[in-house]
Amino acid sequence: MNGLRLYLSSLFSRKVILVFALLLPLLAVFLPELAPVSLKPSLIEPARAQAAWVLLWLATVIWILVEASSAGSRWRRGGIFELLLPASRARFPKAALVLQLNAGLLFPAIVLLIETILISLCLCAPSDPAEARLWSVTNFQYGTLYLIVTAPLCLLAFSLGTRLNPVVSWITVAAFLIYGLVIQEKFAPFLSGGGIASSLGSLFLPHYHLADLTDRLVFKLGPLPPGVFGQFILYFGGWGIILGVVALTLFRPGR
Amino acid sequence: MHSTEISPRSTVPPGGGVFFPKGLVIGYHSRRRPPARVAAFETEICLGPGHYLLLARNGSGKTTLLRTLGRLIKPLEGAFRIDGRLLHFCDDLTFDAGHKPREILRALLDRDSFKTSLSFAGELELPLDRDYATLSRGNRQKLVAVLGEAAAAQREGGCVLLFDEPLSGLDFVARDLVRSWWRERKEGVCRIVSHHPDDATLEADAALVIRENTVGLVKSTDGVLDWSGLRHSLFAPRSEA
Repeated sequence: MNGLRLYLSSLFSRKVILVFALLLPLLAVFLPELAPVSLKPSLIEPARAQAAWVLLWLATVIWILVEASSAGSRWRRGGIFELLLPASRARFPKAALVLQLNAGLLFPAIVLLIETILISLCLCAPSDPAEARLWSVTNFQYGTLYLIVTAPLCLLAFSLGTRLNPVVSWITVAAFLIYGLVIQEKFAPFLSGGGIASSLGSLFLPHYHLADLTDRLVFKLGPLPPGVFGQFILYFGGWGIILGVVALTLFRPGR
Repeated sequence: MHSTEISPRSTVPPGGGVFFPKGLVIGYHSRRRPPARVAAFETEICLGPGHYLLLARNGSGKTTLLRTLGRLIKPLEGAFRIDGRLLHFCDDLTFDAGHKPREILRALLDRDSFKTSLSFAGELELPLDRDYATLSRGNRQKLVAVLGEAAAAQREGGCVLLFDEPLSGLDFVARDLVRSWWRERKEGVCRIVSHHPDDATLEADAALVIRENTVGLVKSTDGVLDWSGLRHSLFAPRSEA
C-alpha cells in the first residue's frame, strides 16, 4: 500500500494542478504587459521574473498549503491512514508515512518551481553570458531556499489538518509564512517600536524574507555569496527540523 | 513482523496469524482520567490462516480490538503478536471524491495485484470508472473487498486482513460471492471480520466473541458457527447466559 502513489493519483484526478500549471506561466508572461512597459521595454524581462516568483509564493499560500491542510483532514476522516499505517514495513511507520506523503504534497510545489525557473531562465535571462550565468546561479539559490522553506510548512499544514479544521490549520500555517515572508521585513520599521512582543517575534519567529531573492533578480544584484547562502541553508534547515518535529508530534492518524 | 509482540515466534502458525496472550487488555489510554478498559483476554488465543468472525454487541469493543490490532491504539496491558503483512479496513473507509476505483486500485496495489483486482472487480460488478463520490455504500464496500483480496492474493509470507463490518451494505449476491472468496482463499491469509450476529449463516472457522468485557474463542462445526447459541450468549440477559 503506497500512500504517495495514492496521493498523486488523487491529485491528478482532481486536475487542479493543471489549472495552476497553466495559469502560472500565462500570468507571469502577460501580467507585466499591463504595466506601461513601452516607456522602458528593457524592464519587461525582470518584471516577468518578478511576476513568476511572486506568483509562485502566492500559489504556495493559496493552493499548496490549502491542499496540504485539506489532505490531512480528509484522509484522517476517511480512515486512509488507518489503512496505510498498519501496512507499512518501516521501522518507524508513522514518520515514514508522513515523510512519504510530504513528498507527494511537495510535488505540485516542485512542478510550479520548475516552471518558474524555466520562465526566469528562458524568457528573462540577460543577454550577456556572464550576467546570464549569475542569473542562473541566483535562480538556483532561490529555488533551493524556496523548497527548504516550503517542505516543512507543507508537513506542518498536513499534520495540523489531521487535528484541526482544515481552514484553521491553513490559516495558521499561511499566517506563519506571511509573517516571516512579508511582515518581518516590510513592517520591521513599524514593529521595532512595538515593545517586547515585536522583539520576541523578530527573535523567535522565522525570517522567511531571507529566502525571497526576488529583489536580487529584479535589480540584478547577482547571487548570494556562497558563505551567506550556506548560512541561510543552515538557518532554514534548522527551522525545518523544528517544524518537522512539531508536525510529526501533531500528526494524528486515527479518528 | 510488528513491534507489539512478546511471545515466542512458534506460538503463531506460519503464513499469517495473530497470537493474543492471556492477560492482554484493550481499551483507551487517557492523560487526565484512568484508562478505560474495554475487554480482556482471559485465555490465550492463537489464530492461524483462516476466516474468523468478531462478534459482539454494539459498543462492546469490536472496533477497539480491530484498531488495536491495526496499531492505532496501544493495548492497556500485555502485547499481541502478528505474523505477516497487516491490512486494516475500517468500517467507513472513504477515498477522495473525484478518485475512481480503477485509479485507487492501481495506486495502492502492485502491478500483478492490480491485474488480479480487475478480475475480482469484474466478478463483483464493481463500476471501476465512476467517481468515488457517486458510488453507493454497497459499491464502496465492494471496492474494499476487492482491495483486500487482491492485496492478499499475491502476498508472500502471509497476510492478516482486518475488516470492520465489510458486508453490511452488500446485496445477498455480492455477500455470497465475497464469502465464497473467503472460503476458497484461506491459504496464508488470516481474516478477522467484525460482524453483527444477525445472520443465520455465520460461516467461519471460529469466532472471537466479546461479552462482558472478556474476549473468548468459539469454534465452528464444519465451518459453520452455532448461530442460535451465539445469539443467545450475546443477547440474553447476563443471568441467563
